Amino acid sequence: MRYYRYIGTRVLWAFVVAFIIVTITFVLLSMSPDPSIQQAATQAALEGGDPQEATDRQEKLRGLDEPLHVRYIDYMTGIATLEWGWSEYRNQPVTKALWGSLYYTAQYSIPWTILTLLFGPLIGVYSAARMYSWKDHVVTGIAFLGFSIPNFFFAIVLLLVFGVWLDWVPVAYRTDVPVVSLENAIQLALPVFVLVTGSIGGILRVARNESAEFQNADFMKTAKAKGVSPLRAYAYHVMRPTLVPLSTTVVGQLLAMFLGASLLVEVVFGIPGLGRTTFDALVAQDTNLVLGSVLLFTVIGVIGNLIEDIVFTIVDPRISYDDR
Amino acid sequence: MPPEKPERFDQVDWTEYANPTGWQRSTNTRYFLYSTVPVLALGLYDWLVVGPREATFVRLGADLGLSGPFQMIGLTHDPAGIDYLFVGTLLLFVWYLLVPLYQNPRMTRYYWTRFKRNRPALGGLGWLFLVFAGGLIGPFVLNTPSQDILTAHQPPAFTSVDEATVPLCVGEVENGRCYGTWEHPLGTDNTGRDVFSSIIHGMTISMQIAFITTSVVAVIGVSVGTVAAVSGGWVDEGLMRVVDIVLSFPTLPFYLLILYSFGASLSMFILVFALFAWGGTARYVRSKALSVSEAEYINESRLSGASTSYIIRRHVIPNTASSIITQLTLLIPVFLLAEAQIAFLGLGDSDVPSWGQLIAAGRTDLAFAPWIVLAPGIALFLTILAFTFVGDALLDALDPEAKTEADR
Amino acid sequence: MTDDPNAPLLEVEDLSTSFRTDSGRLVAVDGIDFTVEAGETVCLVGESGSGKTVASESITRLPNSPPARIDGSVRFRGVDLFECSDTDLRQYRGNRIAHIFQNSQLNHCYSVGWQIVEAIRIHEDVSKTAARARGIDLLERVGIPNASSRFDDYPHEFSGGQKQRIMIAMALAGNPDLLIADEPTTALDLTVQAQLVRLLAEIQSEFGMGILLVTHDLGVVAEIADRVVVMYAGKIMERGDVFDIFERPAHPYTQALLDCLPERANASGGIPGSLPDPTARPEGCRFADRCPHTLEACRTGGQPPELEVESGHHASCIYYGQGYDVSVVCDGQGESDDCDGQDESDNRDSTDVSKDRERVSEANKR
Repeated sequence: MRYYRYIGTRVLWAFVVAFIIVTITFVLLSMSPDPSIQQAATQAALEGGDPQEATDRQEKLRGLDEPLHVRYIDYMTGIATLEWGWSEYRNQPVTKALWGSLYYTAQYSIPWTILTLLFGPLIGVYSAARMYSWKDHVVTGIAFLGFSIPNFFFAIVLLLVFGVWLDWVPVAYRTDVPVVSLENAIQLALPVFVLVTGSIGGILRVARNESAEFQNADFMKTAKAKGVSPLRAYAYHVMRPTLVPLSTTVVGQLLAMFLGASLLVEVVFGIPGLGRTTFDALVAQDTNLVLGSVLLFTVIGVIGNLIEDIVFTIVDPRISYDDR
Repeated sequence: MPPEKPERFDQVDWTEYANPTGWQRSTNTRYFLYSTVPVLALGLYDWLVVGPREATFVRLGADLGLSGPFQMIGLTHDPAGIDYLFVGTLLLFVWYLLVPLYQNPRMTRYYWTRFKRNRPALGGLGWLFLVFAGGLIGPFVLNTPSQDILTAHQPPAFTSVDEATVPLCVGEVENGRCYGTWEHPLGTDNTGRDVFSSIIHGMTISMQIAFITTSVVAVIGVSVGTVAAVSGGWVDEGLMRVVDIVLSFPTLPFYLLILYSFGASLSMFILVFALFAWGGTARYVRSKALSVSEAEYINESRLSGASTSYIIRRHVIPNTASSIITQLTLLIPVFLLAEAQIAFLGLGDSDVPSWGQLIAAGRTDLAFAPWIVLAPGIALFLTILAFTFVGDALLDALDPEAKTEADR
Repeated sequence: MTDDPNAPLLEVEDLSTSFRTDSGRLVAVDGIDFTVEAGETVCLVGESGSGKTVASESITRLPNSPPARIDGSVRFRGVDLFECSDTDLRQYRGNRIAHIFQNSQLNHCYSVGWQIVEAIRIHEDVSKTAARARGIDLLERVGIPNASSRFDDYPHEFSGGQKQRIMIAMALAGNPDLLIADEPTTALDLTVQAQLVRLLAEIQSEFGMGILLVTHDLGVVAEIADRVVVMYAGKIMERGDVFDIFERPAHPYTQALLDCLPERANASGGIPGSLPDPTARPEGCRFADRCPHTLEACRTGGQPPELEVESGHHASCIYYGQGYDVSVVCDGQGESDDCDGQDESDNRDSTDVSKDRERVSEANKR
């Protein structure tokens, strides 16, 4: 039962982390001037009204005249009850706007994650089995290039080559095609490719270096002496221990990419997903939507770290649950 | 400090052993502190005396009565806060990395022979040296590229474009095609700025990001890690929980929020990213310090009366240093990439001519003037690749455990 | 591919194993032969680095090639294993010929039950539940308490001795005809060692298998061996019945090895010098550099052929050939000065021996 208690502690801790991060966002926002108030003041000044009065009105409207702790409690309950406010820019509730954009983000994130998780460890172990052969050098070279090439730059170049010059893929993302259709697959091919090359490199390298250690491990000799075929030995005896160190890097790697590169890739390819929404909200000075997307990214990050912890306990039988 | 006869693998600083418990600084620390004095003085002078619209060195020249010589060598710069920080971290780098390497020639040679085996890393080091030199010297030699709409979209040397795409061709025009010139070896962008000198100026930005962020990360990470390991108990527990939070912080979205609330500047970028990147280093230093402090020689040292702070300085940090350096080398690409991404989105500091900004500027003209995107993109790519290669080689060269592993 | 039940269980002939390394070709095993019959225990003895482990692993071609190159022939019940394809050879590994290694080498990510079931199901088409039941039986047989409840525990939850017992259980999974045990007790403490040696002996009498035991622990050899093969620097130095070897060691190396036992009359506490460089072996007898009786003739040619000391007892030493005074190497072996029908005459050599002994003990003091 120690196992369930351990998981319980981790889940609880995830809530604490989320709570702290949300509190920091509140501190940040309450310290900074609200652009809508400035807007109101400017508006009033332009129309010949009293800027101060307009500011007060706007503050009252947004509940900023309350004492700090009341606002803090309001803020936290609002976030906890998913009342994230109204997005002026999208003219719909923030949660709805985010949900809508998540739909597009998922369309490339899911294939990207699956491909990375599938091919990263496989190619890494293959490369280790053929260590120092030309195939291994090619694989390592691609891994290095993949995570060194700036994703947005790579995306631009690919779009130029395949979209503009060769005209194989549409330059503008189309939202009117069905999710499961050839057109959608074609227009998502480049973003998925860019993201996979970016994220697979790190995973592949960890898989290669770790499994290189395991393929010469003592237990491989035991397996061989038992009569286990080489394929089975790699598939079970090498792959499984490799997953342990891998599990601690995979989620972090994917999350880092998700929080950073996907934003850029969405902007470059014009996918109206989460990253694009955040960017547009920033440009349009839509406080609620900016805050909402930051919160959503936070939630995803916290959940990702939680998954990493849980996966680690599943793959490594040696972990002691009293450790933390 | 000439390199003495290398009798030992590592140099022993006997002055420290003579006084192992007191607040005695090592020679290098003393030199480091001395060398920061002029920088600090200049910074204070800049802050207190020089007016906001004056260039610091022009004013300094006037005050010292050296305007003439200053003007002659082109010293008319106005360093910003970040430049002082940059110089400070460079001094840190010199006194704690380069000088110790020079003082221990035998150790340096040993590492160097192992590092040399990795060809790509050697190439990477060469490129990084170019970027470093370009970033340091470039701004003093090349002026900030000026805008001139008439010379926009000039092609790089040895290439040509259709005459119609260029407002005014600087080079020769043959058969309706405009040829590039050496005046603009990498062409010009959409506002007529020279791409080559933009890239050189971008090197300064990249180097500033690389040095300052890693210094901040190193200082915080090493302090938190060692304090946690040595204190143990609730201090350790608390600090490690803070590390947990720092590690699960969504830095980029958060930076966007800060940028949204407070506006953007390069210093803000460096601050935010450095403040949320030390988690891994701290965790690593802590675990390493714990395993080191259980080693036999630490007990010996403790038995012979060494204090905790002495043990940390003389044993724990030197033993973790190589791994920390490796880790930091591999962190730099993350920072560079993040800055480029933000600049590319147009959310960065618009006063800072970074590579990301150049890429963003060239994006609309990609179809007919690809060099504006390609040149800085490739520079960024090569720099990140170089850091990755060097970090990878350092991992092999500096980590004795990795070595024995490979030999088995 | 069918085997001949009348043929010897294991015949190793001219087995050589070498490895490609940065400093040249490393010859670990240099043309050795020996046989193991069903029901008998043969011990392969030698100091660390003598090539005995590589020799035992080469029997089923376990070393990866490259870098290893394995030559010679290994016949198992008349079938040459080195002529087999990899797929055919896997039918022998674990099934007919089982291995146990030093430090139980279990995969830390799988439960011991999983690993035993794997060993069973690779060679036999049985259901998981049947394999599991048999696995639990095997664990019980090797003396794991509460075998059924511990079946799904992971290796790190067992002690070193228990892990080695699990290795033995896994080796028994295929009902092997030959068990190759490589230093199975070295890493364990003395009481556990004794228990495991007893377990091996019991299992042998129960299953009637042949055992090839690789060890440097002469105490274990004395307890369990029927015949002994002494290896040094990739070559066989001496072979014979366990009693002959312990009572009348013929080869100077065996003598020196036995003198290392503290309870022996001439306990020396060590052999001076070290093994010759395996990438560049010297001419002549491999042991010549460390031998107290070295002659000029010892340093030329190859390793001397194995010469008969008495019936079923051979030594690779020129003193047992024509025209050499065998008493030189037999002298000073306590009760064993009757090693062969020759009388002792030359006093000069025996004083040399005592001088050498002085030198040896001095070297050991240092």
